[in-house]
Amino acid sequence: MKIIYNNNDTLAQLIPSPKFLDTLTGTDEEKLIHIANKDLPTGTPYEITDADLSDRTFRNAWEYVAGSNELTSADLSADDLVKYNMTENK
Amino acid sequence: MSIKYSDSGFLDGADSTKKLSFDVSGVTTGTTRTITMPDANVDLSSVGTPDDNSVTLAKMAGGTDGNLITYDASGDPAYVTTGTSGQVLTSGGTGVAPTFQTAAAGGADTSLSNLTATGENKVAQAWVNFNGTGTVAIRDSYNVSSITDNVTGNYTINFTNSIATNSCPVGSARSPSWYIVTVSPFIAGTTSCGVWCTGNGDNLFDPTQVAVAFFGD
Repeated sequence: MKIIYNNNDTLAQLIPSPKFLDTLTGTDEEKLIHIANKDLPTGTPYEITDADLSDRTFRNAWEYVAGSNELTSADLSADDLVKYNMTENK
Repeated sequence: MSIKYSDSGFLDGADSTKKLSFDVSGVTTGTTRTITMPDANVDLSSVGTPDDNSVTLAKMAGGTDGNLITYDASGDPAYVTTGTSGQVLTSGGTGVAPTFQTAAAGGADTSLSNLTATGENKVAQAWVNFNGTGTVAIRDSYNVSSITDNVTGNYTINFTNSIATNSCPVGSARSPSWYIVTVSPFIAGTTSCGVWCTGNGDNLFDPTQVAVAFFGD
């Protein structure tokens, strides 16, 4: 699974690192929500999807269209900010 | 074997000049000392010679705490005098007893296990190897939580733990057809770094192999 969101009017895919996923607990979706909160700017709408996006024809023209499962990235907890050596969310 | 008894002790049966006598002159007047025989034959020739592996620590003579046992030039047991705290035992070579001496000063510990104290900037703060074609996939990484596939040839590496500002990224990549490509990483912040992959004519494209490492404090 991956995270897709709008980035400068094109579709961006956030691909999690397998090693980082191994350090997280919870379901696959919970892990991706954690990564979205960590690596996306706070307040970014996104979706978690397992759609096949391997055909990169016209890659630069891809657009993100909000679906029914859209989520919004949130702030990390204070403990997570310390753990990741981050002073604030992106 | 025959034994004769006389006022002067025990005599050999064949040669009366061979005698065994008891000297009790050291016994306190009016006191009887008793020699107790075990229920076994006794060979007095072995008295005073302990059996192999039979001498326990408790049977050894006491000594000074910290002393060590060695041998002197005559081959006799001797002590190595206790040194001062922190000294190390130093061999004096053949024929010379070892002594405790102050260890020579060593160099700085620059081992990998001591990098926290001596400079973590000697190793990569983060690195990643990923496939930029098809569905972008991370093959292996260190301190990388995710990669953002922005558009063709344009990716963002997101660090697990923030790295120092002004770090030095080093990257390389190759295309499916082995064209030489240029990775142009630019630090966007301490939490992520953008990477562009360009080929002939500075056109962005997706390489199959992208490897980027970050060095810094």
